[in-house]
Amino acid sequence: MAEPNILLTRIDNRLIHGQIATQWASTLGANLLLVANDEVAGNKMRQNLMNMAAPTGVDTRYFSIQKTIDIIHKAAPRQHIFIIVESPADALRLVKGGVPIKKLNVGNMHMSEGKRQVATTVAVDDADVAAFHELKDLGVELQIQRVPSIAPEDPEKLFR
Amino acid sequence: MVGFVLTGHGDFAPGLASSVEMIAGPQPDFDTVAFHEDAAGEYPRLLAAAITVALERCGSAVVFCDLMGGTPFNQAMLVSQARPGVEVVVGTNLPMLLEALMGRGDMSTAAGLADEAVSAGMTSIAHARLDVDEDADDDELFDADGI
Repeated sequence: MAEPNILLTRIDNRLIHGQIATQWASTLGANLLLVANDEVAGNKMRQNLMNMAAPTGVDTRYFSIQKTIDIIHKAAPRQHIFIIVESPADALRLVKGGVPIKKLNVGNMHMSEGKRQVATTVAVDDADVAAFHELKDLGVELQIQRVPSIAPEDPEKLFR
Repeated sequence: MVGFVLTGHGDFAPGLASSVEMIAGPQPDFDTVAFHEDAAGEYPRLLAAAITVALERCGSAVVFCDLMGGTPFNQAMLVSQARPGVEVVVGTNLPMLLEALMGRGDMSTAAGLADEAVSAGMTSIAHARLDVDEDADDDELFDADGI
């Protein structure tokens, strides 16, 4: 089986929302938004809400992390896939499970108790930083970019 | 590139512009003119000046207004009668602005973008309902090949 055509993987704790639906999907030329998230995989309400956001002609899938790992290599070449995950930990699970993620976009990681703001829309804790280190060591290219039209920020910010 | 000017009552224009920025990032050739009560006398001149700048920079312009028959719309219509290359769209909402901003390219025209904006705006308006069928088998949605 040929390697799945993964255009980009993004960490965004809002998953599919306005920025994804109106900007990223069309800029990338994606025709499949794959949300890899254990909670959403079992939550029809959240799936249906995200389906409302998805642009016409773009399919959506809501797989658990494990199902994504199990099924990703069955993707057809015509499927241009944009994977969206909630956290660096989930991205790391996908990579360790054999999902061929080369480029990881860090979009929205909201500020919360115990986290520190390292970029405009990115807040991390020690566990996040450890996951980013592991991802980098596994050869994944990291980039911080909120929306396609603005310049990426220095990915080294993730390790501060 | 077609120049865009967004205008409306109160903080409609700067408010909507901040929504655009949050979703799509900063936009070139996209100006806003707020219509405030305390500066109402100045408003026609400010709007005409913004449209003039857009025309000078871009050759043609679309003015996005909030309300049919309101002062921002009326003033935009007056300018569009006096100056060739100005199209006016009214009833502006966020989806139509996003669509028109995404659609701007070297080949696009002010009239074409105005039509695209109106079409996108209308399809984005809905009385939304969420039907949740827990028993639905979504496997049938999957293609015979692929995931």
